Amino acid sequence: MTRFPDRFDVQGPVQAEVFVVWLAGDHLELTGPCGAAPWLIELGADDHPVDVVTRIVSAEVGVPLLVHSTSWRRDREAVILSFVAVIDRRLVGSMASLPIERAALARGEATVAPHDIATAQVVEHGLRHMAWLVEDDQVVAAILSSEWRRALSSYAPEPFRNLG
Amino acid sequence: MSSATITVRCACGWEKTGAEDDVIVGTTEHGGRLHNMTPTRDEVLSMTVSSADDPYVTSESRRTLKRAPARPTTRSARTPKGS
Repeated sequence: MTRFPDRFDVQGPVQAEVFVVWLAGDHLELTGPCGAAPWLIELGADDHPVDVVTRIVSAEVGVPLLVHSTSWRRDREAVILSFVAVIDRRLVGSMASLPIERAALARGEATVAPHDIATAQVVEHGLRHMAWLVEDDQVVAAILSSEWRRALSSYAPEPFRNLG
Repeated sequence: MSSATITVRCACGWEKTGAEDDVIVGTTEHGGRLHNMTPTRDEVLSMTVSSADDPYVTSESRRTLKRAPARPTTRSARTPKGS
């Protein structure tokens, strides 16, 4: 039996960490059904991560504009796959939302991952990944508006990578 | 079935207090809907907290008179290789 030592919490060897992001005027904000925080989703052995994340975001928040995996790391005794889920502002509703602040990236060494990674650094990398996609990927470029492009313009484009 | 009032808290901030059966149903529904989890009744019961003021006193720790450490959620430490 899976043990939950102190509280109800996502378990398992592979977990998704979803950052639900929306454009609030001229800046980006983080929201979600669990608040303006990472949204953890358990992934089973037969689950396709993107399918599960898209299904659950669609059911709980509404159909997202984009769902994209932006990084992975080892944490919580699991492999954590980070996702950015872009939603339209009309889906935010009563969910808590906070502006996303900039953060310095967690940097590792040539063959060693960073030793300490903050949530803000995962979001920072996720948005840098989106900044890369909006220039490199035709689908993403077609979906994200010019306002989104402006909001991402200060993020240095960077592809998917291992954060830890 | 028990009529005792219990509380379960989720790491995401959600919590449910009420009769045992109601909390089990609510927690199972929350876990499945938001976190893709399928906890058993025993698993839900193992996570109950005894007081609204102390989230770390679980049914398990009450039995053992030990406190479970909180798991950090806002900052993560890389697991050392080989551990």
